Amino acid sequence: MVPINAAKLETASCSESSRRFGDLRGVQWRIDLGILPSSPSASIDDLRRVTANSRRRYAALRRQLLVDPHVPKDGSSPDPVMDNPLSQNPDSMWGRFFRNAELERMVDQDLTRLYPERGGYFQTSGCQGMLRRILLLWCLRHPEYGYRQGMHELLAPLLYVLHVDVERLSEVRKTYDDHFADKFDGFSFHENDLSYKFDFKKFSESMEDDNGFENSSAKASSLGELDPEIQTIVLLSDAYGAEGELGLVLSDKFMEHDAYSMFDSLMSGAGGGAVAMAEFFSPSPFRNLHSGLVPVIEASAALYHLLSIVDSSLHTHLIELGVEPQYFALRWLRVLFGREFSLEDLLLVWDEIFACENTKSNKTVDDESNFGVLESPRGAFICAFAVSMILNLRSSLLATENATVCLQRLLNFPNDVNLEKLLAKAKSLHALALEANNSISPIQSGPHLKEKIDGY
Amino acid sequence: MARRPDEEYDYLFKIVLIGDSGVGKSNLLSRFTRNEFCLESKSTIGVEFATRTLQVEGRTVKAQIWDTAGQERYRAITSAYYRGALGAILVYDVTKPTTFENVSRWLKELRDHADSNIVIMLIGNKTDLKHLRAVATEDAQGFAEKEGLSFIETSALEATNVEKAFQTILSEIYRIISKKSLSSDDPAPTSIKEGKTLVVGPQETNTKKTCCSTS
Repeated sequence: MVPINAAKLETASCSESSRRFGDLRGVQWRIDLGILPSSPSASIDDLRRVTANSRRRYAALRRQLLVDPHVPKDGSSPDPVMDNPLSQNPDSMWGRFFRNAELERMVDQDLTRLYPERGGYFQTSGCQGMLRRILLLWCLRHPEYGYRQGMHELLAPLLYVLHVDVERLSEVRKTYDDHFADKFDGFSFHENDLSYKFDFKKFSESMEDDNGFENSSAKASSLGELDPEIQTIVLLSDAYGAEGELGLVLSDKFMEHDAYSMFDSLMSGAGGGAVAMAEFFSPSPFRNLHSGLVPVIEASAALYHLLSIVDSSLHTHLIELGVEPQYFALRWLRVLFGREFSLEDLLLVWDEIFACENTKSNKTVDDESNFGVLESPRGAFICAFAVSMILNLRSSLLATENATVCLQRLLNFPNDVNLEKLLAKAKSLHALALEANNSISPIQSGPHLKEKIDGY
Repeated sequence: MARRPDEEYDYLFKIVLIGDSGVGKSNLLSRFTRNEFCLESKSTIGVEFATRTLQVEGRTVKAQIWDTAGQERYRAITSAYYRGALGAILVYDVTKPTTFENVSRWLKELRDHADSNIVIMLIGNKTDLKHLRAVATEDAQGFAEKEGLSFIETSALEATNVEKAFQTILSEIYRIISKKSLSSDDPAPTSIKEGKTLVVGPQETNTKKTCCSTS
């Protein structure tokens, strides 16, 4: 066993205190993914302004990248020499149009097969359209990755939680119709302030005052007597707040915009930047991580490294059978366990993953021998959770002497699993995972790894 | 560790399933190993695995089949994926010409990464979609002959020729393996003597898996 220092133990646990919008998962995840401000002092209007800005960025991106050559853009008359359907110029509008169409076919191939067992929401044309546009735009924006199978399943749950929040909103709106109306009236005196040169600071202060439910003065509308969660929902959806409609944090109209920013953040690791999911789709040592390994292979090796610390006999058994970690971890990691659990359970897993900070610890000195994924609380938790899953199958894995059978078990995770237990185990391994880089030289775990390095 | 009776087998053959995305690889596999077909199956991410034990030429053969995502061509796990594979089933969709055109790219991938003696079978799947057929049987047949592949058309949905396809490739592998073990002066690395299992992982691990049930 490796000694764990106490200080690390404390930092290891994912912060629970900042879960301000825990019930509104779409809002909480936007905070966790670094899109909305995480500071507890950020006012609702701060959230609204940030929300509006990220939606503007998405709208601009969409205008810029989703070309339809049938509709000439305003102002610029198309140049018929370059912009005709037979043009060989790859930069012509039509050239881009055909390239996009090719990409779209690839994306659609997967989208039509998205959560077939659930039917319903994911197969509606509205949902499919949003998913398609988001994926297209992200891929056009990141040509170095392009579209890879699995990206769609990283995106879908993000859109889904936004959808659930909006459903919750309309439910609340129905039940508390009066309060929405009251609220609008209450804010009507701000109308002048909603002009362009609006003083945000002043406004948010006055908002704070309004929101001071405890010191109920003359303004103690009945809103203050409601459940705090309902209050929040009302405030997040107040059409008279900062940025008006564009700032409605819960908004049916802008789910696509919001899902894009979440997806982009998840993929590129915005914020702390430690775990960038896009790297798990990369076929080459993209950012040239410490080891020179393909990121997904390095991360797979990292979780075996952690396993070797936690349960060396199980680790040895798997190595001896030739069960290389990437055979199963490729899927686990690429869709962040999306294929291993039902959507409901997956959301709980992602709650925990996203709650972990995505910043690299600077403490590590000897970079060469480190697993990048273990350097951040989020990456370490992902590995800890994966190891918790392997441990859950311990006896059945030890009982088989056949690699393919082991892999079958690892990739057909039992659906009656006790998720709470699995998460608790992962949390208990979290500190160890963060420490794992410091225990022995990791990138020497067996000849199979060396071989990989040579292979690329 | 004593192997349970249902795990007894004379040979263990690894076969890989390749081909473009959406041609029906996973359904061919589920039809063969579980006699199931799912119209609304998800796309494969990475690799999936299945096994089935069956009789081939009077021997008990455990077929372990590795099914990859069609898009995994650039794959992060290429060489490991083909390691130890004795057979490859290359699937295209008879209703989608591009999937047939891409067959030669898949063949190149096989030649680059797999053992040169790997047995390759070309499968044109989805013959149930008769009105949508876009690749003629003769064209594929001709191509297969030219490239030295065995060829068959299947419908995983209607369970047409699926059993036959797997039986054919497994028999072919069996014939090659048994021929090899006869010519004892040429112990090729992939040859498997009776009673031994095929090594899936690194070479040094094989001693442990020597089959103990035959003699």
